[in-house]
Amino acid sequence: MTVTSNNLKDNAKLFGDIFTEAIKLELANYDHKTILMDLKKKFEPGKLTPLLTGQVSIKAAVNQYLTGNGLQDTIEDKTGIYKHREWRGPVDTLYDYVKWLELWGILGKWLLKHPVTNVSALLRYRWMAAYLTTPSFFDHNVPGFRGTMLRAGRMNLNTIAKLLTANMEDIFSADLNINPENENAKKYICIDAYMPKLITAGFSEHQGILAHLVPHYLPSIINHHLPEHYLDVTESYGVPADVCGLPSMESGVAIEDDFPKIGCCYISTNMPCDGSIMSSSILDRRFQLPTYVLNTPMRHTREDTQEYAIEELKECIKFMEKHTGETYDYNLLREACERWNEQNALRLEKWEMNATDTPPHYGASNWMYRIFTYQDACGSQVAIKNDRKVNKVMRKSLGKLRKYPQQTRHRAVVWNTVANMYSALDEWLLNCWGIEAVFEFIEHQGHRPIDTATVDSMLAGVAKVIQEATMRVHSKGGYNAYTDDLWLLVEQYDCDMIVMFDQISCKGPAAITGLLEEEARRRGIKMVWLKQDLVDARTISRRDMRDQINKYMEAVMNETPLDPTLRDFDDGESW
Amino acid sequence: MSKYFGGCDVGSTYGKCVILNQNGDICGHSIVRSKINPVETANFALAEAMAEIKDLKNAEALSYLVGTGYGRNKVPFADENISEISCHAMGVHITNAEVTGIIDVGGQDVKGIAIDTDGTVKNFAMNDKCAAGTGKFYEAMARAFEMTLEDFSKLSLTAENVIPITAQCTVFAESEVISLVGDGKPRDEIAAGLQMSIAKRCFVMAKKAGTDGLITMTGGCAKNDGLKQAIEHVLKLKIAELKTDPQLMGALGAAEFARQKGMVQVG
Ligand SMILES: Nc1ncnc2c1ncn2[C@@H]1O[C@H](COP(=O)(O)OP(=O)(O)OP(=O)(O)O)[C@@H](O)[C@H]1O
Ligand code: SF4
Ligand SMILES: [Mg+2]
Repeated sequence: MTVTSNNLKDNAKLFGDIFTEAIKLELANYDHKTILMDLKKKFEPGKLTPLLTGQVSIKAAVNQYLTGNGLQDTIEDKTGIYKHREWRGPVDTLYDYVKWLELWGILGKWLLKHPVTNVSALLRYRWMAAYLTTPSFFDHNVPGFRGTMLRAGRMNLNTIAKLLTANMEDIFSADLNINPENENAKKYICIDAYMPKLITAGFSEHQGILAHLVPHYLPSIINHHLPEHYLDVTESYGVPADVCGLPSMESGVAIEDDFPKIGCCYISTNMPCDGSIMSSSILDRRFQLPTYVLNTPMRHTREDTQEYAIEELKECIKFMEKHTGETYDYNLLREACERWNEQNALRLEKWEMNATDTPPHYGASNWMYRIFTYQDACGSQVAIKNDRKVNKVMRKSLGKLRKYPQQTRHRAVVWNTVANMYSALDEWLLNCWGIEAVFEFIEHQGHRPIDTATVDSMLAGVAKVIQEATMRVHSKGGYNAYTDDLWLLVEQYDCDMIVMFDQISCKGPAAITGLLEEEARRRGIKMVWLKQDLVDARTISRRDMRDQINKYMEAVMNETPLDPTLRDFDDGESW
Repeated sequence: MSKYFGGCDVGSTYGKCVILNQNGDICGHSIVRSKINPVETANFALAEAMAEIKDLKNAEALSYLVGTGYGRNKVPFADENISEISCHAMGVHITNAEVTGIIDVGGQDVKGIAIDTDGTVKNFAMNDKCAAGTGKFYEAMARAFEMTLEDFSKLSLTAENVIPITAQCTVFAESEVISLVGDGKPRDEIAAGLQMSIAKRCFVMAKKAGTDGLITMTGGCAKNDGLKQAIEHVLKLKIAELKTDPQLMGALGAAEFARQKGMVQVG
């Protein structure tokens, strides 16, 4: 019997069983009341209307248009709930609304396709609740957007939703926590964080699944308070509090048994850093799957490490063959690499377009899409189709007067580990201070084409893609991966500013801050350090982050905000 | 009738107020301990400073007032708020135009500020979120030594050796110090160790901000002689003296901004 059985009776009985079990678990494991209270706080009945209907309040919209109020005026303080949808002019408001409906369509289709499974997952996993607020979260990542920015942004976001729901469908259909007797579980190869799953493309009967993406990485971006619980769990377990939040949160999810139980084997890595090695050992103990540790060279820019990287991959493939019982098919890998190459070429074209005087699309709807398609949907047809569409829209807008942003002052590279807890920072930089974050460090991960001529050349390419994962291309991976690339990008994108995240628990970059300071000064580039704690808003809140930028913009740049309503506001409970 | 311009610096630990006349002379000033409510602090500091000026009856009679400091958004009567970084830079600039670098050690944060030749801020760096190496830390240490703050500030001056303090955090440093005192180590040498560790933090902030040339200290801790000596030792240069109380620099800069803006407004 599977959860997705078409037999109504089966489903009903199963649902009953799971429901009771889930409730028990829920009450045992979670502080259920807090969850409900949080939800109630966020969705006070009176405030639900614009959220559910997505209506444009004509009166409020006209008012916004006439009085030229700022963006923050459309939003409730603290909760971040929209008082009414944003007025972007007739065409763009309609476009935004249609895309918003489309998003509900995607989510609705997914929810209704396997209602039992999804409800069970909702009750079983604390992080699932975060996904329920996806539409509002997405709204917060396109504030003020019009024209090409809006189109490219919405298209990317909806594609993430499509890919994500498909991903969840796979995971839950195979999850032994939700359905203890199912055959699907063994069809998946679990993969550790920050490593693209391209390497599993050589199997036809088995599929790679990223262990971290759905359970905590994305939820930590959607609901910036979610990680707090898992961080506390890890600390109570005895791990020191100054470990980086990313592996710490991951460990908390494992300790709480909040990872789906899935897979025939597990590929763990030393990526991105020593912090994650700590979490790997906790994960390993919880997953109880045969594990292969794929060690990738830290100094990936050096050619003499590549031979080792390729050997490691070959060993890893042997390991996967053993545990899947399936022979690795290099033709399948070749096809996947070719798709990766097409995707990559489109990405590079996008980079080129963003280096022009009128960069058409950047920000959270770009970098979140990039993370997702690099790690999970690498070579995915759905993603490639979207990339083609987005690039077409972007191409059309080149050299033309932009509808948005109309007023800008600076071009910036945003460098270093991005703060999950503040996805829409780039949007705020743009709307409040006119800073165009034309290049986010995350963009920079693996972007070299793979030579598919021979098996060895292909493996060399895949090895490189894996080594150039998030964080390896800057904070961990040798100082030159950090500094040289940064200055090259500053030149290529003609930037006058660098927004440098200072992730307080990431020890890697600490040693070279002086080097960066000096070089920035030498080049006359304004570099603003932005302290953040990645997934823990309790240490440094979003408001504190904005305050640092405000101070810099006012004291050093002598500027006043473009939209004064955005200078300082409370978004403590918002997306 | 004279016109007056005010600057009110509501810091985390002290509220400071400076009142200037049209010529930029200081006519009144005050330093008061911050209250929990920043509005009260501002009112109190302003009243104290105004008490020194006979023909200034109430706050409304000030031509222009600029609020600054941690509680600057809460300053009543303020015509404008300007960040304390810009205000410290301006205060120092009008006091000694040759200074190009500032180390501001207040009650709760340490800042390094690089100033341009016109008194604007070139760059700055600060440690927030952590009280180690700030005024609050000194207050805790003085308590641990059972001394007044003033006496504790001078304690290290007589030391012949420096006992290194390894803990960076206020809480841990305090217990380290207590155990050193318990071990019977000379108190002045322990104090010298503390001063040195704080001076190093200040050094980092100054470096981060890119200060060079003539450097001065502002904030209440600029009056801490032991710290000044330690910083001079770490930076290997002499700290420039200011003719006005360094703790007033933020308020003075704010008052100067008020004077500049107010004069334009008054015409
Ligand atoms: N005479 C003195 N000798 C030594 N230290 C002093 C003296 N007077 C004040 N201080 C120190 O100065 C500190 C207060 O400095 P200041 O008024 O610049 O802080 P603040 O502006 O309130 O704080 P912040 O700028 O961090 O918000 C006190 O905590 C105290 O340690
Ligand atoms: S932010 Fe730094 S410490 Fe954290 S996982 Fe990334 S590289 Fe490691
Ligand atoms: Mg101060």
